[in-house]
Amino acid sequence: MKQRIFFGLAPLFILLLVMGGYAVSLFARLGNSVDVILRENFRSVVAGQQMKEAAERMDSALFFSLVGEEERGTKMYGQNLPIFQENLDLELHNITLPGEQQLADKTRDLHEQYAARARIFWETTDMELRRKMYFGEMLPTFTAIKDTAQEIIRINQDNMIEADRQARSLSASSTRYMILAVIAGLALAAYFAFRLQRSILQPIQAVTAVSRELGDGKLDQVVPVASQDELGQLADAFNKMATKLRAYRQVTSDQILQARQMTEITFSAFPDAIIALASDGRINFTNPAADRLFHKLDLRSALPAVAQSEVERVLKGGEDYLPTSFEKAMCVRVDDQETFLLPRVIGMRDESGSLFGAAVILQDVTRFRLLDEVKTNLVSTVSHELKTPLTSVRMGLHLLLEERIGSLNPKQIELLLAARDDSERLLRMINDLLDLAKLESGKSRLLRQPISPPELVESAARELRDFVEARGSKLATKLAYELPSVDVDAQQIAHVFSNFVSNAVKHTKVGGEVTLSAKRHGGGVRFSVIDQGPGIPAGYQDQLFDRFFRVPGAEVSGAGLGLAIAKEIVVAQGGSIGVHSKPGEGSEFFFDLPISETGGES
Amino acid sequence: MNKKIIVIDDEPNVRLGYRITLETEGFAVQEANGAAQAMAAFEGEAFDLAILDMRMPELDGLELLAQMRERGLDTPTVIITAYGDVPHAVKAMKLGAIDFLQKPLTPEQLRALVAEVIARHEAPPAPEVPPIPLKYFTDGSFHLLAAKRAINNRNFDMAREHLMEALKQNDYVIEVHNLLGVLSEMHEDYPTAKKCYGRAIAINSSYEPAQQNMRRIFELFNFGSSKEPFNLGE
Repeated sequence: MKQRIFFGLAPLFILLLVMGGYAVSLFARLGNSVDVILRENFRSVVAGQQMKEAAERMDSALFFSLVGEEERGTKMYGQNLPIFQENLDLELHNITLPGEQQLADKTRDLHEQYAARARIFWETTDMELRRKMYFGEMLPTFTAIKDTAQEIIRINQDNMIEADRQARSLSASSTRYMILAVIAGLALAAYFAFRLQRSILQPIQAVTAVSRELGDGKLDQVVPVASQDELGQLADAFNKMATKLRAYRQVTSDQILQARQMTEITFSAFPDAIIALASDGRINFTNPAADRLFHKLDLRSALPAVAQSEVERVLKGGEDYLPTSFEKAMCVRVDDQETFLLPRVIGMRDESGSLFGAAVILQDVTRFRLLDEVKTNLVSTVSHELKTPLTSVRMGLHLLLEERIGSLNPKQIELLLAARDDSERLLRMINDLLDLAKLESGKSRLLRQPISPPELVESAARELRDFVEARGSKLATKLAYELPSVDVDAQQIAHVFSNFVSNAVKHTKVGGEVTLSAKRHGGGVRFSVIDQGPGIPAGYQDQLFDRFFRVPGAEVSGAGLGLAIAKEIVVAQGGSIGVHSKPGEGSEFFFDLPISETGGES
Repeated sequence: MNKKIIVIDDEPNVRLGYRITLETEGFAVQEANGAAQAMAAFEGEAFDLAILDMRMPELDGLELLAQMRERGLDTPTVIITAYGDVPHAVKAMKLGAIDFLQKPLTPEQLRALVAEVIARHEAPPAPEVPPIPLKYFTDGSFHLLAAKRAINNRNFDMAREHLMEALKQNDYVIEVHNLLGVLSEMHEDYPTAKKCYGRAIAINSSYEPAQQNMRRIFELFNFGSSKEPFNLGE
């Protein structure tokens, strides 16, 4: 990555360096050449000027001597000759232009000639000769020197102008080159930046894309490993993770497959039809029993009507449909035989509780129903067969005790009374057994209607008051205010009250009190029958509601079925039953009933 | 002259019990062990009352009663039932049977019901007969009696009129409401029947016949069929 960034940025550095160098050298060249040219030429121009001036002074000195100013002329000449020579030397060593050498040489030659003549001039005392010499030789030489010097000045000046022009044009072309170079640099920089971006972003984008696909479950995706740097390591690590995921999914899907196979094998071995439905009601799965049933009933993979309506209810979020009574079974003809199927519908929910389907079980309850019918018939038969002999026994006993067909002695009366009591007991036991059998087989259908608790209690009190008072006790009622209605079969609840009260009276001393009460308890209403009897030892309280259970030592009076029946009744109505009792403090038998869903306050 | 009663039951010991019970009351009792003996007895003489066991091996009580009615025998009948086989009451009422006793019964119960039925059919045909106490005509019991007699004679319209009259005089006789309910049900007027049973239960919630009728009608409309028989009251 570092290398990648380095190599990506290096061309840009290099570009910057090259361009910077070029610009610096350009400016240096520009500045240097102008400077040197100007300096050298200027020096030549100055030398030329000096030479010209010195030559003119020397000429003037000669001329002074001609007009009698010998001394002044000599002095002036002596002063300017070194100046001229000095500047000539300068010029001779500052040759920069073509043709300048010749001009300088010519100046030197002319000057040597002029100087040689001048020495003769000064040595001559003849004024005429001097004059001749001056006008004949010195003046033309001086003029030539002056012109030559002037020529040197001119070419140097021209060159300075030319150099200036060249410098201008160089500067203009440099500007153009620089602009071009900057544009090219920018293009190159953009290109390198683009390459750098691609070389860094591409692998990251590849990882991102593959991650998305992995998320969608395409575990066989691989990120290309293009390099060895950090991005390459990332891609490599990513591929390893995908491999592990693949392996993990393989294991998981193997387990799921195994679990599914186990379920399917179990379901195929299941004798009852099982149908699993998706949340839209489509059939997802049927076991072989269901397939057979569909085939035999020619249902074309549709659920039987009764089950269908329950399925729709459950799929709309209703409660599971789990009937227990065979009365809810539907009757279909399979192979020309009546078959009873009990449909059960169970909503399938995930961990968060949202519904994703439903399971329908069609349990074949034909045999159970048959058994149920046999049981019912048996009950009816037993009822008749037992009660017919009991009728003649009771009738005979009653007739004898009436003494209308003959009088009895006290011992006969005693025996007959005992026999009559036991025949009554036998009758109660038979009735209890029948009640229990009826309740259990579900034949005793409930006539449930909303009723207010005070009404239930008052009605029970009305019916039982005489019974209680005939046994020397008082009956009281205690009702809480504003009790909500309960949804019950009033007649059956009356039966429970009657059972509780007859037990309570049995254990209450003469003059005692039996209390019927109703109050709110938990989410329902608690109905109680409270006595002032001896109470029940804690050890027996759990067994009280079991069939045929009697508290040891208690007076024998029945088959021990009364409380069992009461329990059956209360449980069938969605309630619960129980007892609170302490020896010596009386007992409270109670049952709790759920409040009516529709009923309001009573 | 002694009233004559025929006791029809396949159990000799039960017949013995009934016979002795009734003979001590001064009735002349004849026994029959089943349909054949009964029909033979009816050939010979007329009876004031028949006591008929609901369940018998060959022909059950209601079937025998139907045969009797077919032959024009209008004998008032007390039907003895056992737990679990109370007769189907549309049939029973159509045959004029509204008096039932459930096994096991006591001599007192039998005597009381027999006396009531006999008296019902001996009662004065119209209220203008003088020696009957005034209360008898004002508390509805005369009309109840007349209605029961009309049902026994299968004159259901008259029975209805008397029941309505009884209701006007006294709204608190459970039996009236219950019988009106059964009559309504016979005419397939279920809402009225339900109302009648409801009133009977409101008067006394433990009145078994009305409870059973209500339960049956409830089941009829909630489950489509009912095994609970009609109960006309004993």
